Amino acid sequence: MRVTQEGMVQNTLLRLQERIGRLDEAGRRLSSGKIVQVASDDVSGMNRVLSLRARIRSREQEERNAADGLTLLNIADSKLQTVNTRLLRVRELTVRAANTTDPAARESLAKEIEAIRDDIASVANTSIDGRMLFAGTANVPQAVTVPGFAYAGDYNAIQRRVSDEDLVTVNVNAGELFGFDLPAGQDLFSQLDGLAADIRTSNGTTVSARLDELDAGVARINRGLAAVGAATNRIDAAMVRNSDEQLALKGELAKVEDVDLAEAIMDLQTQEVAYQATLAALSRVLQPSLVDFLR
Amino acid sequence: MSNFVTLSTALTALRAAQTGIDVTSHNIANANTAGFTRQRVSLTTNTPYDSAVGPMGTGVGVEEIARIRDTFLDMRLHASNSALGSMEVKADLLARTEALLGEPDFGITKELGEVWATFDELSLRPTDKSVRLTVLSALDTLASRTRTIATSLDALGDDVRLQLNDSVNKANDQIQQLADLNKMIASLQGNGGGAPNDLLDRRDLLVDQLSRSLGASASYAEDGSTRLNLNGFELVSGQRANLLVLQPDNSLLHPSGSTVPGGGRIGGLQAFLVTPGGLLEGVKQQLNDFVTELVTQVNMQHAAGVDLNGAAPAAPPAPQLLELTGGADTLAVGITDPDLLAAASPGMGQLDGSNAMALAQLRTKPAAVGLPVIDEAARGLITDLGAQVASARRQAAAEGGLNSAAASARRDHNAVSLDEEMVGLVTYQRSYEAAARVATTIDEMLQTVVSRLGVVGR
Repeated sequence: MRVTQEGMVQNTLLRLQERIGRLDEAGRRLSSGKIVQVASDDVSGMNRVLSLRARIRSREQEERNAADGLTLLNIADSKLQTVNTRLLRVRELTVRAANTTDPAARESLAKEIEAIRDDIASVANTSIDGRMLFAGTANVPQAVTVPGFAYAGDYNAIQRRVSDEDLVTVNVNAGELFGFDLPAGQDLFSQLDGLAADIRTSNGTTVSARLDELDAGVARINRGLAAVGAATNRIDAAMVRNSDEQLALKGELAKVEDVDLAEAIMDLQTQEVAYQATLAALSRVLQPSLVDFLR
Repeated sequence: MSNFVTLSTALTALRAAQTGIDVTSHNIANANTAGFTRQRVSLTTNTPYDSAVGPMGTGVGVEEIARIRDTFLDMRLHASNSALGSMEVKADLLARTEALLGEPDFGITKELGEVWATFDELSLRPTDKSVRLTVLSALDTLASRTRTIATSLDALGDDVRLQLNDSVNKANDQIQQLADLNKMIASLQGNGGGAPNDLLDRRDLLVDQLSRSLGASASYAEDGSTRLNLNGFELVSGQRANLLVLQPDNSLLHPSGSTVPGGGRIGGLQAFLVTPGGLLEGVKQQLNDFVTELVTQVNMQHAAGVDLNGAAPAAPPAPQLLELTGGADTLAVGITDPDLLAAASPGMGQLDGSNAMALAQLRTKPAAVGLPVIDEAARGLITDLGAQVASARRQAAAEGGLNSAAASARRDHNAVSLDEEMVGLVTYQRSYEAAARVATTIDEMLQTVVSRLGVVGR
């Protein structure tokens, strides 16, 4: 085979190009920290990267959704506990009223019950971020109007998305809690009003008869508490799943996308050495010529 | 036999050696000239004459100065040049297109993720004006990012069109030069001279360049002139050049009135630009399809809800949430009043965010059965292009390997080896010295005859 200077130079240049290309790529990987920089580097890798990133972004948002739902549920829970305590106090007062005939004592008991009624109304009108917690999806200034004690909200559910498919209802409404969905006059506020009136004017038997109504009211609040508790549990579980999944997804993304630093540094060093070796070979190959030896 | 004849024999040897040194020095001088083919002196014996002792040689003559070139190697390289030129250009242009998409950090998918997240956020606080504004601004960012990509694809097309125009002009220029060279070569050869090697080299260099840029191939006529062909159409025949005209639809018009399919780099540029079926058009089409799908599904889901006033969004021609009047470069947000975002479902209160939630779920759940999932469509757009780039690169690399093998085979055959020339130089120098010695010897013999002969007894 015939070997020429030009051929040698061209071949070595080609090899040099190839070497410096690999060196450049190793450098780019190390400096960017990413294996897959554009889709053409690794098509299926990029597909994984984009899908993982979208899922991570969605999981992060679901975490916010769940946290928001949890806040609503926690406040609802503590408020309903308060209502329960207040209703127990009403029961106690009612029993006491049934057993006394002293009008002054009865008047003060009735007054306290009315005060508790107002207390419960203010709990029903709990607001969070400027919106009524117990008014369903209705945007109203008060869930239960004061005075008048009528329900101004609706019976719609408010839901939070805690995973791709999982929607959790995070509200209970004052309508169901206080019996506004029953025939007129059977809501808790009317009943408390009636109780106070009975204490003032009626005998012990009539007053005692009101205790059943009170128990039904407490049972309703307890149903609300149970719903809140169940939703809280679902969200708690979803949050645990969510953080587990985020961890797994991020780990996978790192595996697909991120450069193994030790490997990348080794690779860069190897390519650097190879490039220098090619340069050295080039300088050796191109030096000698017959010209040097002719005189 | 005469001493004078021998003197002239020595003269032919001196001349031959001189010619050898001339050619060698020409080779050395052009060792780095592009397209240069090494030349060799081919020597032959002169016609002998009848001497008393039989035919006697009369020295050496220069038969010709020949180029050491193999047409077969040329043709192999030209075929590979055409394929390589077109694949390199395709890979390069597709990679530029891919870079324009800006994935994964600055592209559509990222903005899309933000849009879904803000829809979710809206479902948490449907009455919050600042959240509603955030949704509109996320949609606006997505729309403007999409428009930027679409317009930069168009700009890339314009850029490539300019490049194509320049390439065609340059190719035409070279076609004309080739025809002119044919003319010069024919006239030099017609005058009885030998082959004008250096002009032939220049002509072959032009064919090399045209095979790379245009995919042209050459054939060699009996009279030494070169014919240049492009996919069966004649570009140069003898002294006539058929120049190509770039048409507005990016095709090449041959003077015969037909359209010639281009090859090489020009063919690659054409494959990128041509409509219908070009690479650029394919990418734009995919982008448009994706944007249309996005707009359809978002608007469909948005129309299923009610705004802050409990009213359903007005049907077209009233502005929809996303407006698309033409291609992807016309994507815009149609709603400016944040209160008109339909976050709630019909029949629910203002604080209902279920429609916003449904909008957020478009990420994985199409607005209607049978429609594609938007996030997957976006990924498909990116990975399809990535696969095209990767495949074009692989093909270009494979063809590059073949091409450099063909080029190096030809180079090994054609190129000047300085060592070889040094050996030639030494050889010719020695033969020059020897011939000079012969002349000196004859001279001394003649000296003897002229000055010494017949001086006996003087």
